[in-house]
Amino acid sequence: MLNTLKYTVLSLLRERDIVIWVMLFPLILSTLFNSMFVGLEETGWNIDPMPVAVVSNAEGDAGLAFETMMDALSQEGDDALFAPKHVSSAQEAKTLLESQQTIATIFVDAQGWPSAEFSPGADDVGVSIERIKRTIVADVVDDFCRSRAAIEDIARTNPEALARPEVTDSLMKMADYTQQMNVTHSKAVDYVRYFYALLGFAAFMASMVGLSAVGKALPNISALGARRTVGGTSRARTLVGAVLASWLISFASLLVAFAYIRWVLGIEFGGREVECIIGLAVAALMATSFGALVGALPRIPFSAKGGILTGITCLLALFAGLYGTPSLQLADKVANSIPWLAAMNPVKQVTDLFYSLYVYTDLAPYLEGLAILLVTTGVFAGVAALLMRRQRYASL
Amino acid sequence: MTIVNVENLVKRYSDVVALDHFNLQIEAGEVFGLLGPNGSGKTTAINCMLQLLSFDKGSIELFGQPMAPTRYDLKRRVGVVPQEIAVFDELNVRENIDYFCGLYVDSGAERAKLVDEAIEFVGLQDYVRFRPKKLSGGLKRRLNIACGIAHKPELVFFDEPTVAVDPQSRNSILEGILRLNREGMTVVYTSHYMEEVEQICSRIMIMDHGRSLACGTQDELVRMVSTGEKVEIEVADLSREALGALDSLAFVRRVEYDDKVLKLLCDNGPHNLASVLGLLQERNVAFGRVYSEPPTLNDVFLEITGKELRD
Repeated sequence: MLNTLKYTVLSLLRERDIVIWVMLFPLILSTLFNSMFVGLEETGWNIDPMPVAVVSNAEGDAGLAFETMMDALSQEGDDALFAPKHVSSAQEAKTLLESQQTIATIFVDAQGWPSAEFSPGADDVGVSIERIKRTIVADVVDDFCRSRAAIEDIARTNPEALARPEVTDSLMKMADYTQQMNVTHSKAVDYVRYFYALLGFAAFMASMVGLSAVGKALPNISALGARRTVGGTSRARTLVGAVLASWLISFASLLVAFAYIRWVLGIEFGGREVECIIGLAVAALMATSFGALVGALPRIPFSAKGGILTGITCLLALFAGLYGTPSLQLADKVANSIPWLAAMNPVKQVTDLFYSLYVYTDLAPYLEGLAILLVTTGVFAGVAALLMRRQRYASL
Repeated sequence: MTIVNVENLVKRYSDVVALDHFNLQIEAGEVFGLLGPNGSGKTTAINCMLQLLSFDKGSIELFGQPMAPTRYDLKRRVGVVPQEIAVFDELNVRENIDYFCGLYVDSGAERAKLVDEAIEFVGLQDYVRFRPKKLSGGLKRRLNIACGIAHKPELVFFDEPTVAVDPQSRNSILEGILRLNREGMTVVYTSHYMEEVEQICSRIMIMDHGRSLACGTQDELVRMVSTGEKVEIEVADLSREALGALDSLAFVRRVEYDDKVLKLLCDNGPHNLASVLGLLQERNVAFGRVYSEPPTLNDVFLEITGKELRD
């Protein structure tokens, strides 16, 4: 069997289709994904200081409190939130807003109360980052107004309370009425799903390896298979050697793709690399079994089987969310409305395996996914074994 | 010792009877030729013997033991050179031979020696690192043979090993087969090229429609048929008496003399030409060029099957 294993591995490694589609394609696709998605996500999390026009009509020291806050939020450095432009008239501010030199105008009235104004139709702007910026400006203004109103109310009704540190501390923290916490195992970043779908796609694409190996070992598929079958080595050993070689190649290819995505492109897998590798090993086994099944199908020309397999892989990848946002939405919709159908999709099974590792703190969803993948593998392997069990053929 | 014993083998493809109570006995040390046109059942018979194909009836014994798909002990004593080139396109010459030899021989050291010998035997020393795609048709055939014989089997099946090769390669292959036979291998050789079978086979079976039509040595086969020996002699002047004397020879079936050419159709026999020429000399008849055409395997086949071998 070692002889079969050695030479099957060698022959598979030298097959151009396998090198391109199983080994190189996932690397190329993940590089493309990295340039497409990762840059966008980073832009979303790093907001530059926002240019706002400030028109102050405050009398005396009435506007001092707001001015102090704006100064604090505009100090140069990584944390600067605003880049304020103090202008003298509403007209001047309007001009800046219309020319998009600012994203908002903050008017401070005679009593020092601020209000924000945005350009008309700003809500129609489709770019989400712009909406986020406007929300931040509005929140800052609202927070200031709420805090000032509360302080003034306390000062009027119970001025002694302001002398107590716990009250002033509480007032200072009013703006922090939300607490940041993670409900997921890792920070929720949407684009990682594309990489997981890519790994699902790559895993299923690896079934080409099993297809080729089995095609070369079965007498009803190829002359080479017939020649090997009449040799002095048992058919079981030949087939086990071929399947084992396919699994090794598939697993190695997936490992390379995983290592590239994880450590070269820096995509997170929730810090659970060992579990990922176990998942890849099972995914490779599933792909090999499916490849063996397709390879053993009778009455279909072997040359057509590669095309059939690629077609099935691409179709299943659509429902795993590989092809961008619409595909992802479609995958989610199918998963929500027809969960059993989604569960039957091996590409999605692999995709979800990585997603469960990334999202859930608990390992139960991962183990459940692994079990589903093993059952799928068992079904594929069982049908393949049924097709391959024949010792003699009615015709060749 | 009978190495191959096939009795009453019947194989059907739906309504088509591919082997019709086919019988075959091959003795150790023979080069046995299985001759027949395309579709006559040669490859089907071999595939049944090798347990690739199921069959409806009959028995197959190799080396005196019943053959079965799992009789790997028997398979290890058999070599197969299939009609199609059946090698790994991605492995080079040496790797291919080593792989196929490894189906029979486990020891790496022993295999290395056998592989070297096989490479030398088929003359592929200069191509050991070549992949099959880089080889010519003839070299590929030689690789196919090396893969089948590297483990030094006792019995080798050659299924039309010379299809689509040039005359030099064909000759080399045929000489190689004879060498293998001299080294002790029993050879089963299928072909539809009659001249090849004539050249190397010690015994020949002619088959068609899945049946054995005739079996024997070449001489035995020739004697089985009525086709006679044709003799043509250039004679400038031949008298009626001489013509009559020729016609009265016991082995002469028909005699014609036209346009200074004497044509005789004779029964098969070893001394027909010498007897005719002797009679002409006795009667002082001068003659020029002489042609003699004893019956060939082609004639035998035509007479048995009533059709020309194809392709």
